[in-house]
Amino acid sequence: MENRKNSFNGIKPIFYTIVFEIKKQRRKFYFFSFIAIIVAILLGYVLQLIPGYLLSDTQAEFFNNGLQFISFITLFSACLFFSGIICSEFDKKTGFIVFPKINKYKLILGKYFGNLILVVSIITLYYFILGILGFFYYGGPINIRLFYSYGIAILYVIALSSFVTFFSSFMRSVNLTIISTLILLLIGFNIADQIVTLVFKESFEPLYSLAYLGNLITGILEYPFPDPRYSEFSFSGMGPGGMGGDFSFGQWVTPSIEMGIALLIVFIVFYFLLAAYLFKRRQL
Amino acid sequence: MMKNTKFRTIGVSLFCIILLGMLSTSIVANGNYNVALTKGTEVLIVSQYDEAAWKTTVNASTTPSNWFEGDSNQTGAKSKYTMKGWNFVTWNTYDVFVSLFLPLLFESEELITLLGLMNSQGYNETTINTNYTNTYNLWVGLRAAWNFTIGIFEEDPTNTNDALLIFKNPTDFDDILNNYNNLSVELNSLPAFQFSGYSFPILNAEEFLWLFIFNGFTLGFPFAYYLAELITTLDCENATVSDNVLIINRTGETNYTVEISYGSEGIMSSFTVKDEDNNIIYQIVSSNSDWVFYTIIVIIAICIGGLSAYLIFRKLRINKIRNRNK
Repeated sequence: MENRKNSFNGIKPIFYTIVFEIKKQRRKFYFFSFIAIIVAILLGYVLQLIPGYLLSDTQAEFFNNGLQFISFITLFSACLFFSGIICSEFDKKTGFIVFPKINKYKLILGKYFGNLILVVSIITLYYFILGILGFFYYGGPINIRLFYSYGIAILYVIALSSFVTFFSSFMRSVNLTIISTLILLLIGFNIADQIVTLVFKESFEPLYSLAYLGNLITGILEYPFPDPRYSEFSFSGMGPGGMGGDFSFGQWVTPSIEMGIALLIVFIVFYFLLAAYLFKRRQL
Repeated sequence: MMKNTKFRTIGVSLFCIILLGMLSTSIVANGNYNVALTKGTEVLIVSQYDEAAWKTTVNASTTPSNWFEGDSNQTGAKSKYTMKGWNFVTWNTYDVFVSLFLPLLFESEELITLLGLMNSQGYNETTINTNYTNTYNLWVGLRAAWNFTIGIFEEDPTNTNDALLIFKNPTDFDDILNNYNNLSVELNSLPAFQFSGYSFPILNAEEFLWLFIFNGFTLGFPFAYYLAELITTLDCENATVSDNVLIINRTGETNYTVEISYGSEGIMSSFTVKDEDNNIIYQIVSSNSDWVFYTIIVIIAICIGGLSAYLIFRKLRINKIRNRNK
């Protein structure tokens, strides 16, 4: 009984921090929720009001089309919510307090979970609207693969959050963390993927890339699951007299389900361990 | 003040965009009859099938599968249609011949051979449209269709582009049928067609209507008037109309009646075959899950309303306590 009470007292500060963080970030949450609702309704409902815009054949295809902006929403929300978790403590000098009122790890943990709850809520809202619209257009039951996609989206958000938290652990300011993670996630990984695909073609899959792993969110909705996962388009005989030579454009569509999930978990563990290590070192 | 004006402008713009989308259908459809299609999914269920009565009344050697594809000869079999979208188009005689009559009368594999044969005899698009100058306005709807099945539906539809045709003016059907029959007479008289073994059947109004019912026939709104005008135009002796129900008297092994009712979108919503004593031999009914959707929406609205009311009440109470403490 006494042990249980002690452990509850240990968790209490984390719980209070979570509540505080949720209250603190509520404006950001309202903004992203509004964006998620607008995007979901625009893609899933307003576009469908145009008779000439064809509704997808199947519910899974409808979800796939509706989720085309999910990577942007997850990416921006992850960068904006998680960027200040560690570096803001040092930016505002609170990280250097020698005898803090609350254990620093508990504080960071509380802040992280507070933000995670908000981001997951935004994603859930998006999926919920899409699911409702899918039900409206196609009837029940809701395709099970939407739930798989939702699970992977949450895993992807956690992976993104771990990546941003890792950057937050050594960056000087919140703004710098937001800019650098956004550039890396939006542009950096994609450019690297294209270069790697151009050089190695189908012999090397860009599994290092978080942007590529994010393709599994929509990839899992495809029926049948893409096989082969690497596709190449060739153009030849272009130009005067068909003398233009041969060109080809290759693309990795999505990682395999097992590899995608395993790597997302590996990234989560890796970035969190690294972030914890850097945070500890920074305090010394 | 500035902020309020901005929000108002954004709000009005968004409202206009949504309104424009909703009205785009009626803008296109301004005329005698309108399209009433809506995007969504409809399920057809074989609710009743008396095989013995079918054999003795309709045809001893056929089953409902000859009319509807798949397992439609089993009670409980389901078929599904997802309305994907529609467009307003203008067809000429060639389009009607190729897109309406050929799919009604021939298998899809035969179409290329037939079109090649017609082309070789000089009956191409230009020639046909020069000789038959009518044009027809219609809406072409596309839907994904799953054939009747007793099990669960396959993931992918059986037909991804099942066409629905709504001719804007039902009086066009007279010209359509006459032109088809005249063209068929011309084509059938050609030696190339006589040697090939292909011939185009000459259709009377009732035969045409019967074939069309199973291949994309859809009503314009208001349905009852559209149906009545169609039957009057085609001068069908064995067909009558009662509201949105088309009743066709047919003769098989004995006399029987087919009642087809058209639902809120102008698409077939039920199909009933009855014998002379009004006993149901075969029946298909439709269902959709719209009510479940609206129930969910109402529950969500109630939850949001309740939560908002609670938060407002809580805020007012806090303010009251604060004011009291001042």
